[in-house]
Amino acid sequence: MNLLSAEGLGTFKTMFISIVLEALPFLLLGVFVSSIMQAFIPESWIRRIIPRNALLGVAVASLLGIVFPVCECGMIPVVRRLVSKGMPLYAGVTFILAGPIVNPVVYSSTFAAFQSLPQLVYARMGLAVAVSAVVGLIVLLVTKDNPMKQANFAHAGHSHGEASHPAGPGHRIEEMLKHAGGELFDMGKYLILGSLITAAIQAFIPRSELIGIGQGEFGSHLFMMGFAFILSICSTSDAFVASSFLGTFSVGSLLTFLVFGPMLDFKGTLMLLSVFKARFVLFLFVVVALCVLAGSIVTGKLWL
Amino acid sequence: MHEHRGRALHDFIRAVLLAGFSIYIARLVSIDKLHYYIAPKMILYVKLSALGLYVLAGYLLYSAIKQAFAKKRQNDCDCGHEPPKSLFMNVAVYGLFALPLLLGFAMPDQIMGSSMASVKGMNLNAASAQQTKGPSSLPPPSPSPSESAALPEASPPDVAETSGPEEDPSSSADASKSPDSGGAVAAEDEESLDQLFPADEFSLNLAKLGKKLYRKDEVQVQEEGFLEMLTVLDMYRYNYIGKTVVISGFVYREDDMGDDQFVVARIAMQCCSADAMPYGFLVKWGKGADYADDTWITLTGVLGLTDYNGNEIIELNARKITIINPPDDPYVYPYFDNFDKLAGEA
Repeated sequence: MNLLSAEGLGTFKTMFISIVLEALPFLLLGVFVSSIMQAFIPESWIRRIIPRNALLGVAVASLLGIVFPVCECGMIPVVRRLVSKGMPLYAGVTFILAGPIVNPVVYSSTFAAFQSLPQLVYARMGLAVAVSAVVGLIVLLVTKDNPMKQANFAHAGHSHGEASHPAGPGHRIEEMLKHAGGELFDMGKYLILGSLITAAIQAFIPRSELIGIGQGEFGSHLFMMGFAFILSICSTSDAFVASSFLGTFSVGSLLTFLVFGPMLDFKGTLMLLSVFKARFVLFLFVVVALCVLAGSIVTGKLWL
Repeated sequence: MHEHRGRALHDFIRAVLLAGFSIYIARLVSIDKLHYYIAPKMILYVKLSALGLYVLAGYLLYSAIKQAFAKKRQNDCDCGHEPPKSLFMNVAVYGLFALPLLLGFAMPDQIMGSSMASVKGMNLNAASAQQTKGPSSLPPPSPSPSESAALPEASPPDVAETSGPEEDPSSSADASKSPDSGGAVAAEDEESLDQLFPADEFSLNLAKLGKKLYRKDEVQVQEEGFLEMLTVLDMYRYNYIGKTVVISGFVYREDDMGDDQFVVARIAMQCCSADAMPYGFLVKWGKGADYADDTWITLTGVLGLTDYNGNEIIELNARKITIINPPDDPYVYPYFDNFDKLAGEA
């Protein structure tokens, strides 16, 4: 390990800045789109969209992100509000899982990061839809009582886009900018931290040592799941981190990183715990982990 | 309460940080070094981001001023974006944002070269490193020499992830081996050419290019399509034994290379430095020690094969070496244009 040699530091600095700069446009795009949605789109629209039939319901919920792209951080408060106002729980869960992945911003950033490997992009979208639908159905079948924490619903009565709000367009724009600034810092810190760690790994640990982990059948997938969990990078930018491991880690394990991360990472889990009871979150965690693991191993073998 | 003034401070710091990023990007553009960090395709979007950041910074500054002079507290957006209360957390988070700025402004902007290559591992078998799916008639894929374990790269088709290099996969690989060690197989008509250059649906382009290059006296490897050319030469290496190759790149050597050995390489970038990988050819030149690491050269050599750390790779027997100035953009990128152009046609 050429730890902290002048050259090593130079490489580290280049890689660190490089990942941050690459991801920045997508982070900004995600933040702006999410903020526009928060400020301008009433939730009543979303509630009306989910069909009653369970199968159709998960199908729609898993694809909802295409029309309503919200970054995973903005996702959970939004879904909490929706479910408390009548959206079925299982559809809410499906939306939480698929929304951060199956949307145009994430699609384009994944595509940009993996130009020579479009199959990975399609696999990411497909697996996300599949896993979220399956988990949603499992939740429907297994959950009996309401797992939501009661509660802090009286949160200052500030509901976006509802009639009580003083609604001039200028005010809305200001609101949007305020959101955008806040969200940028909320999510940006994970991006920078994640880039820091990734650049350090890339610059200081020789690839030969990483390859041993990266090619193991299960080991590579488990490592990538753990890595994604800890990094907690926004889904609009995580593709760039993943692509730095191309060639070292198997493509299947990268798929695991790209699907598991946005569904369940450290910060997302914390947010889930603030909304749902701990037992439910644990249950969700296990089911999602198993589905993603199985799904990406199978997809990796058959297709990638 | 001083809450709104505290909020004003936060907004002010944030405005400064975002403006800092905006200025940093602008600076890289003005000294024309943005491409040291990101691929040309992405440059426009990064510039647009700088603009977006500038707008946000402007708003945050306005908001800071408004709150600093406000009589009472502004309504917060109440959506979970309040900054944390503890001083430690705030210092940590803003410090985190400041870190790339500090590193960016304080440290020089470097071209990545030997030092990065030694950490990432030099790829001397472009074909196996690039193929995610390749024809089953490829000669056995061999990993690059700096790996300690012999393992394949991004999943070649029927290889399970844990296995080592495959045994010689099929008879067409034998057909493309030269009958004697000295020269490439002499075959001129289409059919025997097809046999020399087996391809599947994913490598049709490469096979076609390979045939065109085969007919040439001298193969010029340019910056455009560098990686694709290396892939073709490596994939069908048996057909090019004895061919003259002209290539430019920087000098790199592994610790265990002799005085008469080094690698001529370039760094290939997909989207950004983080995914950049070095690719090159091993070179044999009696006075190799004359060329220090990271020297840029143009080299004319004859293609041969050799064994390096248990892997069969291409080796260029150098005939002529010229030192050149490092190009403005030292990296190479994926090639999306007509492959015929790479053969000097179309």
